[in-house]
Amino acid sequence: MELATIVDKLREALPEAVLASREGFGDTTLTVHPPAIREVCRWLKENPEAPFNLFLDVCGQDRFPKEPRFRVIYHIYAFPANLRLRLEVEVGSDNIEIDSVVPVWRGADWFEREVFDMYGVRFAGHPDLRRLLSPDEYGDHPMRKDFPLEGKFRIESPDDLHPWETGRPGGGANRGRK
Amino acid sequence: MRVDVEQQEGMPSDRMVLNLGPSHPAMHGTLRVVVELEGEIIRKATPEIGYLHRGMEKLSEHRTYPQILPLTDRLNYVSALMNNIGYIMAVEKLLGIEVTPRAQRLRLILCELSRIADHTVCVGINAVDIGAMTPFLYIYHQREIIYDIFEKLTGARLHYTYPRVGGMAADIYPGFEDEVKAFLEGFPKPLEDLESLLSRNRIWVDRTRGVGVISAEDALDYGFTGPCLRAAGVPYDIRRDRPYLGYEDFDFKVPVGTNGDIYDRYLVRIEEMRQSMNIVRQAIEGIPEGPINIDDPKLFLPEKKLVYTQMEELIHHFKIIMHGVQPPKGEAWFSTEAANGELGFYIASEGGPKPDRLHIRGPCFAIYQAFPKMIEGRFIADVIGILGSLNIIAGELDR
Repeated sequence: MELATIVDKLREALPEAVLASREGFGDTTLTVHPPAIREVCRWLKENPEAPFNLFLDVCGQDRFPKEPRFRVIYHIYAFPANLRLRLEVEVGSDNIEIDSVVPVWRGADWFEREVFDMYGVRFAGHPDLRRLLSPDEYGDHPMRKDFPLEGKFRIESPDDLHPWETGRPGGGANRGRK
Repeated sequence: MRVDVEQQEGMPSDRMVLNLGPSHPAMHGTLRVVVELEGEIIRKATPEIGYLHRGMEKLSEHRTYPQILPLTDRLNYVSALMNNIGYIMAVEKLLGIEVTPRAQRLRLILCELSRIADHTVCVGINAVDIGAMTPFLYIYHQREIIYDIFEKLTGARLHYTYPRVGGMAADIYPGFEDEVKAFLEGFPKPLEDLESLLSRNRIWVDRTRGVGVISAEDALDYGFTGPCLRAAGVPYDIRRDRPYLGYEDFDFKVPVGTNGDIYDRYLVRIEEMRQSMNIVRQAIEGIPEGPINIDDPKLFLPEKKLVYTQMEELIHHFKIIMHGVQPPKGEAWFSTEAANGELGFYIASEGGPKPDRLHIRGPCFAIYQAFPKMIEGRFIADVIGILGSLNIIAGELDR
């Protein structure tokens, strides 16, 4: 079973759900319409030819200052068929919520909690959406690009993103200065 | 060790909440589990993780690709070379380069030796946790021999930082092959000793058979990979299914279990050590001759004596140190079969010397999610045995 065949069938079954597909570095990526993510995952898990039964990974990405700002990236694997697929969902900063895929794969539980913790993306339908790695009372989402690596200021302009190069406060060049 | 639930029902008992860890010698690193107990039986368990969270992924966004390499040592520090090699290969995938046959073969040998070292630790410590000290001492000495070889090769015992983008930091030393061969000759005996002390040991079998069971469907659903998945009966091994480093040229088997309990995980690990030995035995014969590093001044540091004498080489040296290597735009996922399972690196590059996003998928992270399911309804004493058999490494779990 070829991955392309599965992707074609998915597009046939859920024509609105897959916005784009692209190849790069030997990996296939599908960009999924955000409200349809759970439906797509369920279809992929339950398709009879090559069920994507092994859940691998969910991670977030912040593309500040671009919009839609966040990306949630899923990696899944079909066990005997030996296929690996990447799904991508774009989430804008105005409404940072997408459907959880925990009802499809229980393994997504902690991965989604981590994305929530680090980026503040909320997963609707998650059974226990708490922070995972940082303390419960922590108020920030540290993997966001506007959260500085060091220091206590908030990054407001894209010029501040790499203080190491620009020499602005908060980064390596001004390490230890108040 | 069956828990008779019916007998417990109706008895007046208050639940007690107990913190196991995060600082407790039997909790392997900094793991914390909050358990609700009825007597000695666990009714509810909630793992709390993040005590070893060092923000590795955030740090990676502010470092050049070669600078990230030392961070990967601190993932699974029991087999750090495998993390190194996995990360470096992800970067190489993004750059679209292939290393020389000699470097490939050396990486393969190091990966398999690391796997043996990791499994010896896991099996040995698991036995210690349950109360058997002797097998651990037999097998731990062998890990020491591997570490001596690594130390001679890389200069470090735990945090190697040995591979480089496009090759290795140094070639092998004279006598490396002989030392590896000597290890391969000496290893089967202690491994047999270990087996003879455990496999039919009444106490070990009672404590491990039917404990911490997970079915094949559940294991896949939770994202199990590596020995824990194979012990549940799913023969998924990236070395065979999606070969890298030339694994397809070597003859090895993928052991699987049937019950998915501690005992099966132990058996799978023992057999994997044998298979790894087999691979190393085949690979050590005739390591390809030739250069170990690729000849590309934009990617690999030139020789030091050339840097001191030639202008261009000095410039290349400066460029790599200051600006790193610069992969094209795009995203790549590369995963290797590490000792615990699938270790994946997802790198999103926007061009430039630093990754826009680097995500590390440690195998423990997925496996540890199923821990409450495995221990609920069992005795506290089983927690320790199950935890040891899953081989949860806090460095990889929290990153």
